[in-house]
Amino acid sequence: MLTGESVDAIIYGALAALNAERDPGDQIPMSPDTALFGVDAMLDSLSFVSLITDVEASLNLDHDLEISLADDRAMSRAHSPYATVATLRDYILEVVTEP
Amino acid sequence: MELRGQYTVLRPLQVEDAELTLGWRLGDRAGLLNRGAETVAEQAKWIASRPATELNFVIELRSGQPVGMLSVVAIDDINRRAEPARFLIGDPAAVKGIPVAIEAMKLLYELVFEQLKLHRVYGTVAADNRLMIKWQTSLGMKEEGRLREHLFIAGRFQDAICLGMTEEEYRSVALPRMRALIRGTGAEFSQVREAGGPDAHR
Repeated sequence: MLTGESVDAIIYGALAALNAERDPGDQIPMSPDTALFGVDAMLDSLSFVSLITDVEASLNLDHDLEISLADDRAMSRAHSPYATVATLRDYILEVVTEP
Repeated sequence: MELRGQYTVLRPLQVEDAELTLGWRLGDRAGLLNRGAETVAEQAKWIASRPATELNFVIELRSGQPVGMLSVVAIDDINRRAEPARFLIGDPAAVKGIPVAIEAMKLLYELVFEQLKLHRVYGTVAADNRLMIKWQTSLGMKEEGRLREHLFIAGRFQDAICLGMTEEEYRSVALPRMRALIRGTGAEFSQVREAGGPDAHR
């Protein structure tokens, strides 16, 4: 069963992979409020897409959930599911609990 | 040929872009690209000598601000294939909060598959350029092989990862995914603008 904590751990794992490639003074903070895309975000497009890819891979490999985080569901929302760690976590929980 | 998207315009690279594009090419972000010109004159000569098998673009915001470059090279009408290349966002601050990079790739793929009617795109990426490999595979490319010690970059040989995507994969995987990412990230951008935040087009 996927919980908010376990999804947070997946996202933080993907952020840690990005941080491993970044300078010590340019580390992305591990917080629910961390912006993933937008004017306040530290991630550029390459890093952002990498994060989404790593999260999808982790959901698949570690939780046997083959879901896309970039499909029609993401398009249909009024607010971006990619804004912060917290909005991405909530979006993932919503997607995995869909009937 | 100019390609226009919601946030992005791809316009043909011109000799007048030599100084701008050389500055990008000599920047840290281009460290994993193949070596190119060292001077503005060399860059201008290089731009002027592009063959008919290439289409080279400057990536601009809708405001007209240039922010990067992108090409499709080795256009082969017989085998109906081509190679996306020289993808570089030279002004990352200008594109913050705007899905310019994703839309630029989408515009290029639309050109390749919708206008040029090609069947396949392919290319190689330096093995150390992990973010670019993940970027390309996330946007539909599949890893097809590895060329050992194929590239000499930053003072040493490194492997090249071979990537490719067919037209069918573009339509079934890449296009829907790029549309979703542009829309999903664009929604965030819209909120910022509507809230009176910084004008990210400047």
